[in-house]
Amino acid sequence: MSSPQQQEQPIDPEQARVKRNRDIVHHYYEAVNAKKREVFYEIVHPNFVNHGGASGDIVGPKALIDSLDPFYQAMPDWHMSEDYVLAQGDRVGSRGTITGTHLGSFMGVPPTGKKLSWTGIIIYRIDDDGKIVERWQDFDAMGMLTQMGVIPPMG
Amino acid sequence: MAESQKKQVYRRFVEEVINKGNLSVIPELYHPDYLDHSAPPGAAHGGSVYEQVAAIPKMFRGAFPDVHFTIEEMIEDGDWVGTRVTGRAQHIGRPFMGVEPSGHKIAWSSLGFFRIQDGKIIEHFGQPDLLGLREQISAPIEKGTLDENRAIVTRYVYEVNMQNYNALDEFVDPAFVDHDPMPNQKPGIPGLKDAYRMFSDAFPDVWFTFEDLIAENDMVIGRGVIEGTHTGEFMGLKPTNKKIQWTVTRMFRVRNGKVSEGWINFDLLSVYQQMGLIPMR
Amino acid sequence: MASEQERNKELVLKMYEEVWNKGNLDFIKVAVSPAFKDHPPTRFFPVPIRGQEALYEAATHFRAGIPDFHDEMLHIVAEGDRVMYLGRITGTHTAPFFEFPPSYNKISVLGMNVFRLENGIIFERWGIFDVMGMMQQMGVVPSGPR
Repeated sequence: MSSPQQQEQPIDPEQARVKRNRDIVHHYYEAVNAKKREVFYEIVHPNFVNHGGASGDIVGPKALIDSLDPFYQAMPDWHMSEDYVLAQGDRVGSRGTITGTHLGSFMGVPPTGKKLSWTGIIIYRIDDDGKIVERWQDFDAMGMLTQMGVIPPMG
Repeated sequence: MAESQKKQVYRRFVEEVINKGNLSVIPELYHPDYLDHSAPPGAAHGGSVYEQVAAIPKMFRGAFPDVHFTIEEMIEDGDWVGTRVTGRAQHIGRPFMGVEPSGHKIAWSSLGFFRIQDGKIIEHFGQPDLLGLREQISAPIEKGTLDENRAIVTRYVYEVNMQNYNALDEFVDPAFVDHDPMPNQKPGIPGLKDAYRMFSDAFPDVWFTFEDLIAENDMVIGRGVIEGTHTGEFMGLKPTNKKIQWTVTRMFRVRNGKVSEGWINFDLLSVYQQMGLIPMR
Repeated sequence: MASEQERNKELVLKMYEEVWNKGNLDFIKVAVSPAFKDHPPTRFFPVPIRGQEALYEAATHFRAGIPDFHDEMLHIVAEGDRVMYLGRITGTHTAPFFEFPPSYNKISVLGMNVFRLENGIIFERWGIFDVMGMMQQMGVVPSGPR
């Protein structure tokens, strides 16, 4: 969903910032999908704060990495896509789909062996130094936990 | 250099009450004999000091959910502190000064005089640049811009909040595609209206408060919080009469001034947990 | 010997009395720097925002439209190089005020100004007065472009 680069015209500072922020978030997604923990310490601010989602109000890059571990263990081929990416000001919003094969137990429940899939939208705030300082997320946690067998189907 | 006690009282008012919406500290900051010479028309008259003072942040935060005031300077002399602040916000909430929300990003100045007695605010005169504020929130929006897309989504959400579902015919393309439909949701605008009605039937006072709005190209993301009292059946489940609150992030594609596609992710798990159907982790 | 703040307050009060209440515009030359910079409220009137001319023109226009113009000090505070003034503006709108014809209405609005002074002279001002209230009292509905 990136806008076409207009090479003849100079990019204004706002456009430059938006492009830089999208690249940073893309770099972050590459690290998350490749499980490259060292990149987290490069990109994520020490005072990073998360709002919402399964991880709750965690702080800092280590807490962020730790929050992903249960998912990596439950789905060794865990992957988060960037289906749509929007950037404006200091924010980047990304709607993605998480997929993977449920081979490890999650929250004490044995794996189903099935292919899992659920969606989420995450908004990142990037500071002037290019570090991710804040994140808000909304995920289809119900869908995820139901597919994993942690929650019985409702209704 | 440490700030004086009087200046700290004012700073706490700005940081806690206005910027965070933390109304519970009002009794700590305001004197029982508080006199506001500049109460806006419609503010609580004859109510308690708490009600009088709370009316202001409620009004501002209702219209501007992400409002943030920066203190430019404070001038202290005797019992009085003169203040100059800058407010910044997005008009993504309720109407303000009779102007409906259009997602405008605004910034305005405000001057004030506060008298502090016994460590609490006891008297106030205020002079916000209301004309400047109103001009910004009612500024014309150029067609084909990101501002137009923000405005369309802001109005869409406002009309849904007001339960004017027929207004959706104005903002939504008849060929609307919902990528995250509710179970058995019909296609197009009728299905969309049904989905909203399902929520307002279950939570008659349901209200979505935007906290952030991002627009790029033909897409818009709106993140916020929904609150409502569960007095009607929801997804086949009996009403619990509880006040339920959950986060929501919505994404829309806007084409030719109309919403053509929608995506949604929201914390349904938390809704069920608050209803007592699923234990808290 | 009065403190710098006391002297600054006196200067500001005298400026209001002489320039605004008495129409003694010459006093601007004494009280205001040629490098004066104004930060008026939005949608203020078409007057300069730099130099002594800024106050000269503003006072001329206000006193022309409201011949019995009066600014009554309610409170004044000073700290460092700043003075902040709260006043009530009153008068009767009996002559054209910029492009607004006389309404013959009584005007009463609050105004606040922060002044920055150097060596006893006004160099900068941030002001907001109830423009909306005044225009309503003058029978003009202030509307933004829509």
